[in-house]
Formats: sequence, C-alpha cells, structure tokens
Amino acid sequence: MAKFQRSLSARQRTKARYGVIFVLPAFLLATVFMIYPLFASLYLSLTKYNFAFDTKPQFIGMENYVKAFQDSAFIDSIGVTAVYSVLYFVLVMLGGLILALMLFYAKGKTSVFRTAYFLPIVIPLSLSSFIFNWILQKNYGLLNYFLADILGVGSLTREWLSTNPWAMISIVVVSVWATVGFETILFLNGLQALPEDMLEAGIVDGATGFRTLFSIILPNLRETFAVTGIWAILQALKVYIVPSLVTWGGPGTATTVMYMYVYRQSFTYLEMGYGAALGFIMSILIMALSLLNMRISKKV
Amino acid sequence: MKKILSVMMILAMLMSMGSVALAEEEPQKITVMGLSWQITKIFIEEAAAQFEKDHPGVEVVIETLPDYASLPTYAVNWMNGETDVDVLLIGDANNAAQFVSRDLLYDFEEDLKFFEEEGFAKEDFLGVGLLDGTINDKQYGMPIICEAYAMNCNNAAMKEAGLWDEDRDAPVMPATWDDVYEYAKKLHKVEDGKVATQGAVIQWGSSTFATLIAAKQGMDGTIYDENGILSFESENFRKMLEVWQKGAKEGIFSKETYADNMAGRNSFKAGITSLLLETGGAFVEADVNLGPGTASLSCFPGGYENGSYGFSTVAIIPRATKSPKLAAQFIKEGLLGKNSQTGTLNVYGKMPALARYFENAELKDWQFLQVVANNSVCTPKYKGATKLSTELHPIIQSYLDEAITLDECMDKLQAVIDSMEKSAY
Repeated sequence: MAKFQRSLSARQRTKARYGVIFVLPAFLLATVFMIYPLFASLYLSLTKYNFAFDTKPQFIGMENYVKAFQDSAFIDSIGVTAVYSVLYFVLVMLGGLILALMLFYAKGKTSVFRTAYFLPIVIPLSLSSFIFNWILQKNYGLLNYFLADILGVGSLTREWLSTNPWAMISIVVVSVWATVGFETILFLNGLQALPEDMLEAGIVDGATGFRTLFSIILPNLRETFAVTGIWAILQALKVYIVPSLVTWGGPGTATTVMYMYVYRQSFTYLEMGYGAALGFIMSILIMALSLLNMRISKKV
Repeated sequence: MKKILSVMMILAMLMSMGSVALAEEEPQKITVMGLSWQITKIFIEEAAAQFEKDHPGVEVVIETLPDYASLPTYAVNWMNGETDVDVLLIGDANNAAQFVSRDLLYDFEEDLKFFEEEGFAKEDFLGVGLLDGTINDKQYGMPIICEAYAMNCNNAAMKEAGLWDEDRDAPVMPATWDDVYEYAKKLHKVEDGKVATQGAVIQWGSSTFATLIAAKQGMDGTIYDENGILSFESENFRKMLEVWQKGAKEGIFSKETYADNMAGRNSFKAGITSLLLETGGAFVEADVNLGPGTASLSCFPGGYENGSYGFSTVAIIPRATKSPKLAAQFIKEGLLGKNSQTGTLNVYGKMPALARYFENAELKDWQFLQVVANNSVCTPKYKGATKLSTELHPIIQSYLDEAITLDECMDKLQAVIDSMEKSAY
C-alpha cells in the first residue's frame, strides 16, 4: 500500500512537471507583454519624461497624478466620457435585451436576423467609423441627401457632426450600431439557458406576457446581466475609435473622450510620464465601475 | 599540407583587404520612406526607377510609412546607430523635433554641402520651403514640395455672382474678411431646406492653426508681436473672428471641417462649395474632377501683398545611414528632379520646392501662388508646437458655436501660446 502510494505520488509529480511545461509559454508571454509593461508603466507614471526632449525619466513621485486632477481638459474629458458612457450603456443594454427577447420568442427561422444583428461586429470599427463620417456629413452626406432629396424633408437635415447635441448622439448611435449584436448574442445565450419547466410552471400559474418577462425571465438573467454589464462598461469607458474618426473630438471638445486625451499626451506631445499616469487613473476608474456592476448584479 | 595552408592564408588576406575596400565605399542601396500619398503625389517610384537607370548597380527601395505616430520608433533605432531607412519624408518639420534634440540628423548645408552644387543654391529654392526645413538655424529638412494657404474659387459660381475680375481674368481678391463674408453670402444657395451651394468653407479642423496664421499674416503682415513671439492679438484678428462667427451662425461658412479636415476639399471638388479657404492646391483637384477651367485661385485678405501660411514636405537623412551621399544624390536627382517637381505641380497641385519649375506650370494660377508663397511664413519652431494643431481648433470651434466669448477665445489662444517654450529644440 505504501509502495503504491509512493508510485502514485511520483506519477502525480510527473504530471505536475508536464503541467508546468505546458503553462510556461503562456506565463512567459503574459510576463513579457503584460506584467512587465504594467510595472514599467507604473514607474513611468511616477516620472517626468518627454520622449523627444528628455534623455531619461526623472522621478517626481505623485506629481503627475496631482496634475491630472488639476488638469481641466482631463476633467472635461472624464465628463464627456461619463455622458457618452451613460447613454451608450443604457441603449446597448436595452437594445441588446430587446433584440434577444425578439429572437427568443420568435423561435424557428431566426438565423437571418441573428446574422444581421451580428454583422456590424465583423466590420472593423475604424472602417465603419470612416463610412459614418461620410454618411453624416452636412453637405454631401448620405443621410441629409436621403432626408432632403428622397423624403423631401429638408427641414430635418442637420449638421450631425459639428453641432451639439447631435455630435454626441452621432457617436453613441454609431457605437451602439457597431456593438449591440454582441450584447444580443450574450443575452440570447442567457435566455436559452433558462430551464423550460420554469417558464412552463409560470404559465401554469397564470403568468403571461410582460408578467412572465418581469417576474420570471429577467430575475433569472442575473448572471447574464453581470457579464453583459461589465462588457458594456468596458466598451463605454475605453471608447476611442468612434469619436476619433466620426467627430474628431469636436465640436470644440464636446466629444473628446478620456482615451483621446491620454493618447494625445503620450503619442502626440510625447509626455510619456504624464500619459502613463492618466492611463492608470483610467484603469482604476474602469475597475471600480466593473466591481460596482458585479456587486449590483449579485444583489438584484 | 603546407601548400594548402599557405593558399588559405593568402585567400584570407585578400578577403580582408576586399572587405576593407568595400567598407570605405557607401552601400549602393538606399531605402526611401514616405506616406502613401507622398509616394504617389511626388512620383517617387518613377524617380527611383529613373535613378536606378541612370546609375547602374544602385538600388532604391521605396517603403510606405504608415503614420507619423510611428516616428518615435525610428528615433529609438537611430539612437542605437541602426536604420532601415535612408531618406524619410515628413510633413511638418516640427515632427523632426525628436530627432534634432538628439542630433540624429544630417545638416544638409554643413554636413552634406547640398547647396554648393549649381542649380541647388539657396536662391534657387522657394523661400518658405527652406524656412520650414530650418531648425536651430540648420537645414535639417530639405523641402521637396510646398503648399500655401489661399482661396480656391469655383469659376462659374464666381462669374455668375459678379465676382470675376475681367482685367486679370481671375476671381476677385478680397480686401477684408467682410468682403469674404459678402462673397460667400452671394454664392450661398438653399433649396427646400437643404444647402444647394455652400457659400464658403474655411479650414476649421485640426489645421485651424494654419488658417489663423495665414489670416494674421495676410491682415497684419506678421504673426509675431514686438518681442518676436507668436501672437494673434490684433484688432483685425478680433474683427475677423466676429465675421467668422456671424458666417458660421448663418450657415454661409460651413462647419463641415470640424469632423474631417478633408470635408471642405471634398465638397469643393464635388462642385458643392464655391469658396474654399485652405491649402491652395485644391483647385487643381476640382479641375481634375469637374473638368479643366472649373476652379481658380484667389487669396486670403492681404495675402497677395503680405503672404500667407506656407508648409512643406521635407526629406531628412538620419546620421545612422551608411549611404548619406547616395541619399543626398537621390534627393537632388530624383525628388528634386524635373519629372517629380513638374508632375507634382501639374497633376496634384503641390508646388515644387525649386522655383525654376514654376516655368513648367500649365496653369497661370501657380505664378500667383508663387508670389504668395514667397512672402509666406511657416509654423514657429517652438518646443511643444504640436499643441498648435491639437488645442487651437477646439477653442475656435467653441467660439464659433458661441460657447465662449471673444475675450475668452483670445485669452485661451494666448494661454496655448504661453504654454509653449519659445526656444528652439
């Protein structure tokens, strides 16, 4: 028995050794491309370093972080991101849920609709942003042409990209269009995972229509809400491509989001230290909101 | 055995002698890199083919630079003495700041004696081009093509509105920004709630700083204050902003460039816009699109006498290159050669850096723009000058949208200027 136990341990030890070897490449990749850059950026955020004019970083402690919260342009960009995020989060969650419910209740031939909802995700966001920039242009854009020349309602034409609030609405709409398909698929998976006998029991008890939806279906999608919520928050807060290419951050700074400001500091002004600090502030903000979302989802 | 060893030693000796001889010569291969539009519009591939034909044994490789955001990676390589490019085209000499501060570039004048060859003296170049490539009083950038801000005009629209100078057979030249507003008002047409013809588009996107510099230079003859520091403060400038705001509010001046620097050129090329106030080469694109004789040039108020804003695409040669002489030779014979310089002018509307090629211009408008360019100024070489292209246009846009007052606008513009170090790199 003791000899058997010893040989079992040896086999397990061999397995463990192989396990380490298999995991090692991924661990090395993570270390080189994630862990090391993370700590290097953290150090950089505590320094003053302009890539063009400074020969090496100069340690200044928390000065960059203090500067960030005194930087009115950065605070404004947080405000713009907050407005965008709230609008985007509500629309993409609602939109995704409604589309998923429609697909769920439709049953049968829904593959065409599922493909149609998911197609925008497949198109590179930068490409679709360029195209929407053209569609929404005031004088030669397709939307104003359609409204004025096809529908004959020229009074509805707008400067969609260069006036407020239409510029903010434009980037929210483009972002929702591009990503609602993914939320729909996540919600649909959650709906399809619901036990059928639970729904049947509800019907037997007299629950129909919206009653079934609000009393049975939605409460049982708690975990799905956690996943979709975190994904939507991440998409909202790390927005960059759409406002950069559709409205170029304008009019004025009305659609200049946090990431655009961080990019500008790091790669346009080459202020690597300050840019790194801004990046960490953003990361902390995103993590905090994600944790909040998870807590709320657990309580509901 | 001894014989074999002797032969081997002789061979080894000969090889080492050969390798020394090769090391003293420059490698006969250079790599030229630029953005894809530069490669097309400067006819670089054609220039490379001709250069290889004229110099058998020489190889010129053309590569595309994806974006100016990748320039810092070249700085890192060049600091280590390595380079995979021998001639690099950059659109704004301020992009060279990161290289100049680390002494990574050849000075065309002192190091390469570029101006000593006949036909390539400083006087042979368009003034604003050399100015744009000068940093710390050294010629680190060699201008290849130049542009200047002017007013592109749709001929038919101008004639119909009675804005044609019959004596010059050219569009009228506005004396003030009130004139520009009145011209645009006459040209602007709205049908069924939709703009049928846009009066004017002024460049109010990320190149707003160029528009401001062009406007100030034209109106006041200088962009500097009495201390030689960049300043927009003047009565003329304030009046101009008020006219801009009025025109924007009425829709006569379009705001489409807010979201796309190219929007004005696109609508001008499509025949939708009658006046386009930005780079003066756009009229050629309209001619190509809508037919010869569609468009002509006029200037910003005061631009003909006082100049405008000029800028260049410049070539830089890194010290890390092993073929600096060959690189300089290619610039002279290829990029500054007749085919590239004339082709870029007549086909794409980019002015040649060498003044003599204006004689080959097919359109008389180029002589007009040459006069404007010769008096023009370029972006001041300040540390942090990139702020001009990132922070001025949001301020102007906010003012045009009445989010801030005129005084607040002028204060914010001044604050951006104050935040830049006025010294060179």
